[in-house]
Amino acid sequence: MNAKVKINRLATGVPGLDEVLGGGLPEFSFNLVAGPPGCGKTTLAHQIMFALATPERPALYLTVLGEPPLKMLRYQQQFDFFDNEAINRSVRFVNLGDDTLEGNLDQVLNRIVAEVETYSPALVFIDSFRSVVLSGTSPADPPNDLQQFMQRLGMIMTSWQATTFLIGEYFTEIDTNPVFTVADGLIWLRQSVQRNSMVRKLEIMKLRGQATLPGLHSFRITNAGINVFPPASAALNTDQQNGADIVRIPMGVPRLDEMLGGGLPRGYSLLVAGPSGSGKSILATAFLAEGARLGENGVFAAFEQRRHRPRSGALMDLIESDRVGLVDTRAPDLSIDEVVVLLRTQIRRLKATRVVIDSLSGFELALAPTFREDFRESLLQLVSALSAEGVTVLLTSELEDRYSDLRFSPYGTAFLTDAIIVQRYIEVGSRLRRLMAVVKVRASDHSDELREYTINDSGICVGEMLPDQEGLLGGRPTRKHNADDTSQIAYLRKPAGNS
Amino acid sequence: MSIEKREPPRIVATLAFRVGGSTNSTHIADAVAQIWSEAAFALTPIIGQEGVAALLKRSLHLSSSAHAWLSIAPPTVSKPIDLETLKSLIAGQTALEATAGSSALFLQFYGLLTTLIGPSLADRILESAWVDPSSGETAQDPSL
Repeated sequence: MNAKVKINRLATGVPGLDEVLGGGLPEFSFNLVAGPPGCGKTTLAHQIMFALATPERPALYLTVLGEPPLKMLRYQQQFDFFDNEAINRSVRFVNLGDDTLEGNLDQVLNRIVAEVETYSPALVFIDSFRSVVLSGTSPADPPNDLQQFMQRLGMIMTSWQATTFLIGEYFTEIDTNPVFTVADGLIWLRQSVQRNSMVRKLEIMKLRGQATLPGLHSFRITNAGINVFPPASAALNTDQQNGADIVRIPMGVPRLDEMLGGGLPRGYSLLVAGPSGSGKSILATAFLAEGARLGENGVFAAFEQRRHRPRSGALMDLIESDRVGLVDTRAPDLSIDEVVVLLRTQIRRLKATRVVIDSLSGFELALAPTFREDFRESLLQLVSALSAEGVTVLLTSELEDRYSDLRFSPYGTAFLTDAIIVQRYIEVGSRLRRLMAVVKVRASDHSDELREYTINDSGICVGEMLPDQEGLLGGRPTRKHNADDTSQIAYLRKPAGNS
Repeated sequence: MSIEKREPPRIVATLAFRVGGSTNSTHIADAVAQIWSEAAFALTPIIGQEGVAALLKRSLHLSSSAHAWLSIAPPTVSKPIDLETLKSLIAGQTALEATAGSSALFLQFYGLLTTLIGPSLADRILESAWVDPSSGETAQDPSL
């Protein structure tokens, strides 16, 4: 007979937290929410409480010394999750301040137990628990008093079938603190400051009975409360197409599909690299517009280096008609996981199949400095997460024309994408002309031609090769010296050195 | 502090109801003390005795500009307001002034509480004190 106990897991109501916890919070667990002042402990506790509390599963929020309850109610009310209607119905606040002012740990425990017996709560919060401990201990107390107090409190709460949260200010997690030992769950909140930026991070240091997602997870506090960003799934799409059954999608630019070998394979990531003004965003808009024309929705993630840059009318129409979802976060200090959550939300909302990220340079600047150091790794996560969603991605990359070497992205990230299109300026006949080439399409034939293209009101027009020119990639091509060509005029003689 | 509300707050309405047209200042003083105790009973578990005492002290201070006889706040922080002193002060006024001063005190108290935690939460917490002012009774248990 298999009669193992089944532990119910409670959905915390904090977006992303259940995933990080490994499926929710175990019922009747005894948890510590810890961290330095201002890191969001009380907010996290309130958000969980209002999400979980019902008249049948009431919550008791015990306030001890520390933040005065009036102020706590004043500030917590600013969050959307704070429900006035729940107060004294499913949520009860009780202040223990008066009793713990001069009490010892026994007195504190008795008072907590009395409140729990009075209200029979299913959820108990003690804020701040550190105040309980500080108020209850005196130099005369034997050192193992706190340990005993913790064990008794933990035992009583579990026997009363209460899921318990102790909220406390702790600065170092390496203390051999009996509170940490007795707790079933240890949620540690941090504020990571680097130069002028601050990123909030959360870590599940311990959770008995289930596998949590290890590491630091960034989170953000907005009016809606806390939003945790679980790591972008690095799981690769298992439905990777093999060469035989590649489905190709049109780009919306005549003749470019030919150059790609019949269109861009669905599910691929394409890097469009080129200098400023070369038409990367126009190509990206054409890609989305073509999708919309074929009934495919898209997502446009704007990471422009200059905000309020006017977008093309075609793109605005697509966004306004909700054929294309816009991700345009102005939030400072983004993390890669947050960006993936934002993109994924739009992708799933619209069942989008085409995604544009414009541009990688702006994206890098939008990230908090702490994440920029691992930008290549972040990009890999982003591309993998989008690949797992099954979408086709177009990323633009600002690439300064450097005629002395052939580069496709300033990050050394070209290997991350499945396909690459490069755009360049060249000088011919005292005019700046544009060239485009398909550099790579993984597992597919593609053109090796350098094609001239122009941009007009209707978009990008891919033209012909310039077979009478050579040295195009150097930016200053010369006319080929044919036997019947007597003019011998080079359009421009290349001066020595161009570093 | 301006308090704009179409209806008087329940604490003021309760006072008006219980005092009625009384011309007996002692009766008014008893009603004020009783209503205050009921409000304190609802608030103390949530914000603590000190929190409630601080609110009363501030309300007295604010009301005393129009009713100077209400300026009885003790000078020390820790010393709680003596309700008996408040009662005797009210009883010493004419019925008209006792009612006006007490109403002003409760209005200031309600205004202060709503400024801090908003009218919705203030009403939610205080509703257990008086279910309906016209009943004249303290609610026993609103959940029953």
